[in-house]
Amino acid sequence: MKYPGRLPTEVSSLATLVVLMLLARLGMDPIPRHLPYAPFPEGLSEAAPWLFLGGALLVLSQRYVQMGALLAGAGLLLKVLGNMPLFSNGRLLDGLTLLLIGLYTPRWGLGPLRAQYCLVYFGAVLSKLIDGDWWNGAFVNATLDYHRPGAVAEALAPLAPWAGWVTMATEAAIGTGLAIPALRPAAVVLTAVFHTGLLVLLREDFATFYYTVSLSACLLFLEWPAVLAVRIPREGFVFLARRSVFTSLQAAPVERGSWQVRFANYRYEGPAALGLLLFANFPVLALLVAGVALVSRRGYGTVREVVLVACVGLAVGVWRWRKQEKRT
Amino acid sequence: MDRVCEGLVALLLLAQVGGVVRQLFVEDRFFAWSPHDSRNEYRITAFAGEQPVAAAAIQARYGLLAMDWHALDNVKTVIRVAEERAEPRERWRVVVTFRRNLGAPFVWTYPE
Repeated sequence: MKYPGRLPTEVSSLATLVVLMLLARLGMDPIPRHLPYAPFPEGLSEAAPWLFLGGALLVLSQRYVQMGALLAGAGLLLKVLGNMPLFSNGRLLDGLTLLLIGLYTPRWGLGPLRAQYCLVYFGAVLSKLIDGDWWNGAFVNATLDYHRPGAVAEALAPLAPWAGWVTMATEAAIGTGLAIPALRPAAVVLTAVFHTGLLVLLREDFATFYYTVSLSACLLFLEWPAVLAVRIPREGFVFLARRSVFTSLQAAPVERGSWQVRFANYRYEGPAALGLLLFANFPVLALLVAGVALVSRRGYGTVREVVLVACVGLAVGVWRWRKQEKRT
Repeated sequence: MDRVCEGLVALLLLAQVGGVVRQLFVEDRFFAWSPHDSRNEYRITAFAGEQPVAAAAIQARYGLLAMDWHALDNVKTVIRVAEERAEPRERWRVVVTFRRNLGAPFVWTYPE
């Protein structure tokens, strides 16, 4: 599936979802202080937010996604480079993800984006390996004391050294698994379990990091179909069949089927197809929304949670489609 | 154009490999994919001459809250660079109290 342009749908979707998530967080950064690592014009730093907004609008137009990602990523990276105090994994990863999407070439494909995420995990593991406080549980205890003070921190304190070792082993496994094609599906599952487990335990999403990593794991490391064909059952989703926001629909009779989306007869490309997958997995989606809302300190309705859940729903839909394809 | 893009991509990824390896030899954690792998709480106190500086002014100069948590040497580097770039007559004497992973507090001062 291709958007106008040469980005695969999963990459365009990632750019769109990351931009949506970042727009939902506009204004959440503290007041920056122009303090670059090496002196560069303050004007560049001041232009960074506008560069990001301009790029974001292009991405959301869905016509110039790659150019938009390039501009938005450049804006985010300039913001990080120009403001030492603002440095964080999350901000840097958002900027690099969008920038790498903007620099996508068909020859290298998803390689650079996948390499980026493997690098994140290997860097994180190395940092922990050389820090004794990760081996003796001191960091884990300090983190639990801050995020879950009282009974939870006390109850988990004896497990703190184990938690450090498990974390290091998990991150090493994720980085390695994402790099090996045969292990990628398992690594994606491990990523989801690990980061969501941290979210539930610590009630902390580490700003945008959790969402960017989760979205990227689903969209960059699973095999997405080149062409997606969707059959709409007569009982439901007919109203969706009649929409043509981005694609032209073929009017054809729909065979009677179950509530689950089966793949035949209709050929949808672009966001309409992805949206249909999302709705087809509604029960799973509903459970995920409820689960995320329960652990989120802000409760229901924040854009970023919805965006994350949408992506997980898409991934589930693709997995189920591929299982069905293998059976037929 | 594709070659240019690929060249930039290679530069970006290699720079990050350098950043990851660099953390083995330095104390700060910029571009190493690990700035918050240690719970370092800090409190910044600054003096302009003999006068204490308000928390808002500290945040305005350093871009850091006067009390928060961050990578230890990242805080030191920010303060060092901000002070070195300030006019000599406007520089502050800075005292930062750190506490690493619930350990005993220790103090760092600038000028060192």
